[in-house]
Amino acid sequence: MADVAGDTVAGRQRGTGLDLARLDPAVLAIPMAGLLLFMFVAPIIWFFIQTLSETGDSLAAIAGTVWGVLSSSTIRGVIIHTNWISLIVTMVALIVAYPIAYTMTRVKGLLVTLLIMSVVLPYFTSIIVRTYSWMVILGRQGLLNDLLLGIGLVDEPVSFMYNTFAVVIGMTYVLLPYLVLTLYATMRGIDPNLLKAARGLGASGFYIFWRIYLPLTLNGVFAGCLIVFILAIGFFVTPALMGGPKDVMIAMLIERDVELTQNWPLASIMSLFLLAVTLVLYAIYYRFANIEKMMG
Amino acid sequence: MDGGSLQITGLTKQYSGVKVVSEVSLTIPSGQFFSLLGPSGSGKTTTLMMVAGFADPDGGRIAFKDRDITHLPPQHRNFGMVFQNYALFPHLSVAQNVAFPLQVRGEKKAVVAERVAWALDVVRLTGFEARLPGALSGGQQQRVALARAVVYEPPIVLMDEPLGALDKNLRYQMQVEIKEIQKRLGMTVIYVTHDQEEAMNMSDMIAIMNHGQVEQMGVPTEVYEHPSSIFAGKFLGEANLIVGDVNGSGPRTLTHGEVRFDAARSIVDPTLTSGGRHFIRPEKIGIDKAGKIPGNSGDLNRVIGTVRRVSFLGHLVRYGVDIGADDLLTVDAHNNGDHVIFADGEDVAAAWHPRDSVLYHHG
Repeated sequence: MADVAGDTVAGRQRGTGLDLARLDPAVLAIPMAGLLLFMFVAPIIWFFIQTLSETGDSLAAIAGTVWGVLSSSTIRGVIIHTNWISLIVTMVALIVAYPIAYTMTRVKGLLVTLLIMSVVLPYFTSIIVRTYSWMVILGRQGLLNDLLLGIGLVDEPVSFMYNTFAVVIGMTYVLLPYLVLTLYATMRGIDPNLLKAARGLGASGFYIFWRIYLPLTLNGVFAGCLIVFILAIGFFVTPALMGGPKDVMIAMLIERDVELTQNWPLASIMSLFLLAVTLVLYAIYYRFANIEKMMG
Repeated sequence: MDGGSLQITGLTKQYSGVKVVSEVSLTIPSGQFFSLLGPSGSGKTTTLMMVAGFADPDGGRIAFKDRDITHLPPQHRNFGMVFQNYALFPHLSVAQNVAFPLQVRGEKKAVVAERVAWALDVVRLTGFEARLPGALSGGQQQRVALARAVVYEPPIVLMDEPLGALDKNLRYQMQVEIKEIQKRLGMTVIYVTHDQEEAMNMSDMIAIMNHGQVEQMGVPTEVYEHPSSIFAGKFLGEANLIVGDVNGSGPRTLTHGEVRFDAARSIVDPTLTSGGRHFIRPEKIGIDKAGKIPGNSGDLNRVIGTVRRVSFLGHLVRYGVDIGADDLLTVDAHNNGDHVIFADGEDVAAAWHPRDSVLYHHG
């Protein structure tokens, strides 16, 4: 159009130019959907078909192989350990995140900005950096051991690193922001008048928490825990760097089969399992999110 | 519900240096429906919150049954409270909401069930026990809040603009209902509102608040008929305030040009810097054709003027009459069949009795 200054109404009347406002929003999602389809969904499906077809001639045979792999004692052990670590991480994160999120709803001004920053900033930092920083703190010559030796609480360095404890600490720290922010959003949505009303009706602080506050945050608790759990079962970097020989998680096993033993069918079966579990949990999460919307 | 009066003396509250409530003193006898009426920012809600215990006074004393409760936490005051947006617990059913204060007090299950049934019967919500608050209309939610506030028979029920979120028709219906419940149960109610009709309709006693202070306190008819300040007069309803001089011509007489306006009482209003205001409510003024004198007794204030505005409101006709003063004189004529509606531009005579008037002057 030569008339650059011509307003959009004139443009519309002349029937020239692209009117973005009239486009169906779904149309705008096409580039993103296309990208995901060709770069993510298609390769995964191709990978599964390619690798699984090597394991048997018929569907029944493939299913038999998959079942055989998943029920083997080694892999079952890893699956159980992965779930166990993820569960502990989720619980510890909840215990730590709940009071933090609650405090964030209670404080005002600069303090709330500082709190949000201290929760969100690590969230934008690389997982590797955050994991290494914990290794600096927990290592044999780390800050914590220096402190304990310095004040004479222990005579020789304690082994904080390379065990399940270290994995839980590291993963909890990395995943904490997801839970804090989910809980914070839920808690912010609670009408402060409800707590006032409960107090006015004679309830003590503990009673109000138990009967009113906790039930009203349960949706956020479930949603946040599911997110953390979903992310935890697929974790790789932190358990690989901070864990001991026993702390093998599914993602580490997959990496080993892809990189070291080149057993792609095995990697494929475990990936498929991980993906399936994640999707099921996500479906549950989605239901919770919807219920929350309905009640809010 | 047992008696005992609530005494507030010199109550003061400030937020960041600004006094939002300043030296408020009130005595609220047992069984009374007491309204705190005022515009937003007048300190009425803050006063209520201090009585409830949600705001801590910076000065003064609150005593209930001669016991000092000034700094007692709200959960130990045993007062009932109804909030503006009801504050019903959204995850608890109607019955569970109403049962809450009883369970807090450790009542036995049978007692709880019996009291809840009683309270829901009082607010006419029997049959709604299992519903969640979200599935109720605004008026029904209001009733649940009311039931929850009275179920443990607190000596005083505090209400903070409880009908603010309802539409006009429902408001009136709920006013009648709340008043009826209050009388039946003999409750003491402290009621905060900015709606003067609501306050007059429901209250035994009204305290008009302005700038953190009590401007006037009295029974509704008294504060309406004899407002102690220009603010109180204007806030309680339509009011004419004729501007004029107060010099010389009599202690309760105001002159505007050649016209004299007599009043039965005169009051000093510190908001005036000079001159005076002759106060008269529109419905006290008689209106008739020019040349005729409305009313029949002597010693009336009389003016002639021209109709400049006619508002037909159904039950009454509201005129704006130009009498040569700064503002049009508002006159309400009852549309009672005898009244012939005047047209815009028609010359009329208006008259009213000095006993209905108040002269405010700068003293």
